[in-house]
Amino acid sequence: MEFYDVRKVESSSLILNLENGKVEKPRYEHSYDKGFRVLKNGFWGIFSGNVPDCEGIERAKANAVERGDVRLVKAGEGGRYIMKTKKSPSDVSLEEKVGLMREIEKVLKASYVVSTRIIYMENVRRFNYTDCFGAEAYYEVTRCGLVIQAVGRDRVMQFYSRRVLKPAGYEIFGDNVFEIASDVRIRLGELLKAKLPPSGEMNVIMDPSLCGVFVHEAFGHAVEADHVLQGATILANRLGKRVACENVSIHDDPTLMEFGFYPFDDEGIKAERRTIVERGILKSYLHSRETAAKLDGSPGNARAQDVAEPIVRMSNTYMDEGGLNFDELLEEAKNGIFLAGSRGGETNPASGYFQFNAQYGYIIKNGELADPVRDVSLSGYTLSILQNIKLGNRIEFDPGFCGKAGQLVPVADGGPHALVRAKVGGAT
Amino acid sequence: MMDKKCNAWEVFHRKTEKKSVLLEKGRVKNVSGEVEEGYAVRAIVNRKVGFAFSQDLEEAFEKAVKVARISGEELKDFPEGGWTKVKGIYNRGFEDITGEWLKEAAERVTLPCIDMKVNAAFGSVETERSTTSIKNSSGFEMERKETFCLAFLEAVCDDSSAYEYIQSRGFDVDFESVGMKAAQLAIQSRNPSKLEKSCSVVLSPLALNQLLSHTLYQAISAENFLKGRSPLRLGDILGEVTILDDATLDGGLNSISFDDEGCKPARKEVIHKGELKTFISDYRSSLTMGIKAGNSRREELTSYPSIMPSNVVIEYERSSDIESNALLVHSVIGAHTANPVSGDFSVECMNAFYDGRAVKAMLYGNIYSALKKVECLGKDTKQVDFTVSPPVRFGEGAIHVV
Repeated sequence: MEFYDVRKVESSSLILNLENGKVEKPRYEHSYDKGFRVLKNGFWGIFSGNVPDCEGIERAKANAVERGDVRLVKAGEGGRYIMKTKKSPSDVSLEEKVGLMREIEKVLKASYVVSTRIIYMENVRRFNYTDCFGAEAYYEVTRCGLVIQAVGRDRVMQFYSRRVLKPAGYEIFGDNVFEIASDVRIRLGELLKAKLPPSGEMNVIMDPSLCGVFVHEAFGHAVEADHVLQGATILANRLGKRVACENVSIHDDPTLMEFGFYPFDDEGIKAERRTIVERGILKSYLHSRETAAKLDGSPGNARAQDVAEPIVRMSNTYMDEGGLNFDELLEEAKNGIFLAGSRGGETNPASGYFQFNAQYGYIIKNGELADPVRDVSLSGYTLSILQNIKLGNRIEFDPGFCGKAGQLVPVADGGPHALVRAKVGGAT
Repeated sequence: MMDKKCNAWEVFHRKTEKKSVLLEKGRVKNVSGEVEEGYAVRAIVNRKVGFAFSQDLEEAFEKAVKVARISGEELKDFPEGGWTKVKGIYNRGFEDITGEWLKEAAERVTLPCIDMKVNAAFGSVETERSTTSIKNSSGFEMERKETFCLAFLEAVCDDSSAYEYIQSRGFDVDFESVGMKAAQLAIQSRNPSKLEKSCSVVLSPLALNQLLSHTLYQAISAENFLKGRSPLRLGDILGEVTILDDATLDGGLNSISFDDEGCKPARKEVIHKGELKTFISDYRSSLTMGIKAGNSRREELTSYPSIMPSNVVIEYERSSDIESNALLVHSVIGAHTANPVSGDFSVECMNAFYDGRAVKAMLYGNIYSALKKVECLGKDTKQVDFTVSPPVRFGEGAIHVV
């Protein structure tokens, strides 16, 4: 065989749900798993399971049943990273965690709120990588977070939620979580009175959260190099070419302390910031060691859920800010719609079409915000949108989990306010 | 030991062996195997339930007891349980699957794409064999075996793409048909034009499953109803369709002999001729509402048991002519962004056709209003994930097209 590597991942989690005053489904989770890859005759044989290393490598080797054309760029130097938190979640009692959730729940209460849910999560991932050439990487990363949700009922039912998720310890829970809970309560009240959105193509201002989802869904997936090799992205064969107007620059940076942070990827490569688009020109795809060898790129973007096969993934993906403040964007839009908060989205990198849903919005009338609207979504063709986009002057990040090939990994998406022309649709 | 530290306990154990092959651009890319095994323990201490997962039974038990002290989830005991005989969910042949067999199956998936000169961009053939056992302090102790097979392909042709998949409990997967369907859809979906008219909409079983999974299937959960997260009430009228949840269906993708808490699965008429008759439920919600349990499932081995549909069978008048003057939708993008508490959705069509030509369109509406305007079902029933249905035709205005 040409190559093998072994990954060992130990994961410890605590998840608590406070639903309508009761702690529901409290859950501890502790797992230790091993993943093995063998490259033989240019073909991958893969196995995962809790077996001795020698057995795992042999079982992976037995799956290398074909000849292929896989080759790899050289491994990184490896290294060691242990995240230091200011307040380890393991030093905080269960009762204190529940106490915090109860205090947050109080802030959510209002006459129109019929259901509340606060989800607390903490996770420590211990990752160990070795390969047949002696490369070694090890890290321990702690993640903590809260999801704050409320459901309201008036003439209609609506829900609204916000998240605080960071690579950090318990110290991230300060006054900010009460401010967020207050925003959830107030915004939900507005949503219950919101009108139905208009439909059709129009001027749209996306808030930073939605702009981040656009960058991630519509553009980020299209620059994942496995999609390029599959011939399943609109950005194949576009390196060095213009894919957006000149004010657009996009980066993926796993070293930022946002939710998509990692010190080494799941192939043991030290994480680095990657500029994907610079002033409208496509500069780089995101790569694993395999795709980097085939497309002459730099690896460092292979990630895996637990010990599944590492595949090309994003981390913290964001669009640089522009120079306009929000009022100037409203003035530019004149008439249209302002959409804010993300309820998720999806894209088809092969065709370039995307769809995502906002948590709420406002009609823009004569350059000013007017009536609120609910259940509104946005769709369009990625490259058309990027040809004419005007950008705000402040970036914000939104955390979440990205799904691809059945694997979920933590990510963050960021961007400024952005004015585009796109198709809008919504409730009836 | 367990009895001394808690009032009641439940041990859920599953061993799953997976073998799969991955396809990339018409070639087999890798073959992989996986063995997953562990213990999920629930413990009741002073009527409070705690949960923990570990590969070590003792650790799982200790942590479940520890976390129970702050739990607000109340149960007196775990179910005495029950089971039913279900046919066609285990095939012994899965014990002998080899890498060579998987490779050949994958090649059969790609074959139609080679013939039709379409890029078989990404695909897989996946097989799974699992043994699940539950033992609890109420005396329930049972084991069930299941097998599962999936063939998936995304085909790309010029600027269009399409995907298709078939799932089965056995080997009755027509691998070539997966490649054929994906390739045909990718070819037919090229150069889509705008559709600017109001019309009837026909959702394929795939598109229907996408929309219902994020709306109706959440709303018929007893837990969501009890927690104020469902817009539905017993007696609500949702048109005239009948919707069954049948965990006992022969060969059903989600058929089981006992659910993931040890309760007996059932065939439930959730909606009878449009009227909501019951909710799907786990053991705890069934005690509160006085309805049947049997819909508790664990999404993953490490997951807390929660209410999920099994095989959802849609029944209504059938017609051999459901496609005329209608937008035919094979799949949509963004179904998961639907509003689960209101039923509102707005999604982008991925492969859609009107009068024989490919169209691009956004669909939006409310699933409960749309169900009131179902005109008829097609002839050919297919199961996609939870949904067992032929294509469904919604009348003009039920689902808006822009």
